[in-house]
Amino acid sequence: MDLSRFAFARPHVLLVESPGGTASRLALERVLRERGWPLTDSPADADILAVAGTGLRPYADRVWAQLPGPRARVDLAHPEHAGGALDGAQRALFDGAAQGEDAATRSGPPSDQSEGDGMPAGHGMPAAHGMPAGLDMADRAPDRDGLLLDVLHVPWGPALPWWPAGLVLHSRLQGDVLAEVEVSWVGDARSASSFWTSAAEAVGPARTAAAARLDALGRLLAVAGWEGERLRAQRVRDALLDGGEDAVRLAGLAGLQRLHQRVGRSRTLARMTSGLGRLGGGDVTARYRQWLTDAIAALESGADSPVTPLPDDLDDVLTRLLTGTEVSSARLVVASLDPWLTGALVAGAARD
Amino acid sequence: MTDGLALWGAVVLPFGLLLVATTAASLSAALGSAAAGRAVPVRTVLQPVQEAARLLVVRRRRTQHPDALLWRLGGGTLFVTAVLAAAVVPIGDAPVLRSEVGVVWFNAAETLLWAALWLTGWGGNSVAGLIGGYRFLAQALAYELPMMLALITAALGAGSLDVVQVAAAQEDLWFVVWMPVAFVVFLVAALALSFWGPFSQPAGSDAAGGVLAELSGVDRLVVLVGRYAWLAAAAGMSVPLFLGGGAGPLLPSWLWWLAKTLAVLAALVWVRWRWPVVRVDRFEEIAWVVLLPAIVVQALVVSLVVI
Amino acid sequence: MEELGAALVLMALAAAVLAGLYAVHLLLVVDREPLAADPFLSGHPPTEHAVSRYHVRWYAVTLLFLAFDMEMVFMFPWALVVADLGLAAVVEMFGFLAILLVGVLYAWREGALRWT
Repeated sequence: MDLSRFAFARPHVLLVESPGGTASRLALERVLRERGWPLTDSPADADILAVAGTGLRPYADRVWAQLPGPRARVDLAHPEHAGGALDGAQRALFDGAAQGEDAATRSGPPSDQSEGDGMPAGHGMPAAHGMPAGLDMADRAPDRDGLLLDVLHVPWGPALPWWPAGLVLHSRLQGDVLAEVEVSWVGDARSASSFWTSAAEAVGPARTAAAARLDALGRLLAVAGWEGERLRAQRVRDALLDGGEDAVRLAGLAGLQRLHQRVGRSRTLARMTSGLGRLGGGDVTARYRQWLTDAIAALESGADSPVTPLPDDLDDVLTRLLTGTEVSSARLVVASLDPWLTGALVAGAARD
Repeated sequence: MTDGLALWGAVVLPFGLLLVATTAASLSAALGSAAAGRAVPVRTVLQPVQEAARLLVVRRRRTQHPDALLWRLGGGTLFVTAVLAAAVVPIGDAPVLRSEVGVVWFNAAETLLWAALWLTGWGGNSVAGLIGGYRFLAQALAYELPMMLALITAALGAGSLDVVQVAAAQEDLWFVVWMPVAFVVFLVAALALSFWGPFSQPAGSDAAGGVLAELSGVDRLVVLVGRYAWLAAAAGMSVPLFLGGGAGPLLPSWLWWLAKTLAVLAALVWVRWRWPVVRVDRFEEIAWVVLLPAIVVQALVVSLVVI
Repeated sequence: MEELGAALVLMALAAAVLAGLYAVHLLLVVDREPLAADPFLSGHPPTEHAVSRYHVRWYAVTLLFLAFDMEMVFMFPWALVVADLGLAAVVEMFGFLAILLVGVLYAWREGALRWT
């Protein structure tokens, strides 16, 4: 038996979403789940880089340079090609000769491969002097208690799994605390709701409203480290977005009620998320529970359920909520605001 | 110099440990397939082998200015200490290494994980790894004392630090029956020290894989093997400590030990798919305020029984 | 000290297994030279070394831990003799533990066990 066929029968995939890539991401997630190809957290563990949509160029390229190889890349513009594109990627992994050549071209230092695309390198950091390879040592700055501590400039997003499309968070990190946060966007991130709008036309606003919330829930569960329930939430989501009839709706409803039992009533998850990201009287726990009840209500009544409107000062809200949190809380808070950031505005859009 | 060490046993031990560890990985793969709504064909048991083959083919990586020596040393320490710990576990009646202080030996091996995980996180000169490494230290502060007290409680019940004697002391009644708290605390600590399932925040998705973030190829394989090996070693240790060792009717004692070990291991693996990750900062409080007093009371009860 | 020799033998054997993995890797890998790669920063280049003086906000817990850890060293030998020494040994040990637990209670009340 050919070794690479055995080794890459189940390649690991790093999936990142670019603005407007929601449909592609959903298609990729579905195919990967059905094939049992795992989604991974970092390029070091990835065999395939899958970019949903096409708007992440410089960032995706830099991540691409970090895949160890054998490696293959999928830039998916058209969701219906997801299966074929992944097949092609796997065939590329099987091709030992081509992979050997690819590896041979990558023997220099990484900066040679990714220089010159004119991206801002962090912010407020002067160019390094005298450090090998141009890396500076950490700077120091006072923390919230006035202690002088090391500060790292760490960006989060856009080429990050389980992250809202197009969001970039420039943080000044002390330990794992985001001491300062600056929000920016790549591309027109807020146009992402168009996917959900067209889905609402295809399968009706109720099922779409439920699916959008399950999509958000899946992302939150991934960040919360609950892989089993994340997979189940995405299964129900995909069933709801299928064109099928009442049977699908009922199956979706049963799946949702099970999620409500297991996830919505999980005391462990509630304990991990309570008190985080308080906004309008609700914390992260309140928000994901609300998604579940709203989704069930939408399916049961067949009607649309109300969605919190997108605040005009979203960047300020994010900055306020995330400043002073540590990394795991920040990720949970960002995930809990997901329907605002990408989609569930659907409902509003579909009504107009 | 090496009294009490069964040399042939020592040669076989790393491979035996790998085999039991692979079983755990296979079971986890099967549960993952089920969660994804896929069929679970028999060949799922080969998935860990497939993963290993993949990582052997994949190229290694070197980040900018890593502390390469400490990075690799940390990764290798996981498996090496797991073998050390497993050496004092009686496979049925006889361990590979018979020691009067086997319980302390296990404890000492497990303590080295503090360094191993932190070095694995630190060595790559990457923010994600750094965060993961420090998360593990905070987690270790939470699980270590309950773990030590659970070990001591079992030793207290037997009046010996020799694991063989601890198992022998349960001839009439398994320790799990009258030390249930110690047993549960031991299993929680076992999950935490293998940064597995609910206690996998040091390798959490929210920090791009934490200590694992920059590892690829065989470097990653070594760390993952070490992690499964520790899961297996801890499950194997729980049997002589609390489940009567190799005691059981009809079957030979080593088979009873194996059956009980696999049962505990299956429970540990299942937990991964059943609960979300427990954030270290919230676990710290629970460990010190709930687990620690509970295990101290358990130790008190046991000591009052033995005097 | 006979365990020391055993430890060295076991460590050597375990390390040999890992060395074997590296050897197999050398035979199978697509390219033997490790890839020089930037650390993963969501597609941004690094601007500084990640290794730094980390803000360890749980430092108070480490002090609490040290106090207990010293105590645990006494507890292993104690476990061997408590059955012979009887109630006095139990009272002494758990009196000591109770004092330490009061310290935990104090640290808890002061919020040292929670840092987020």
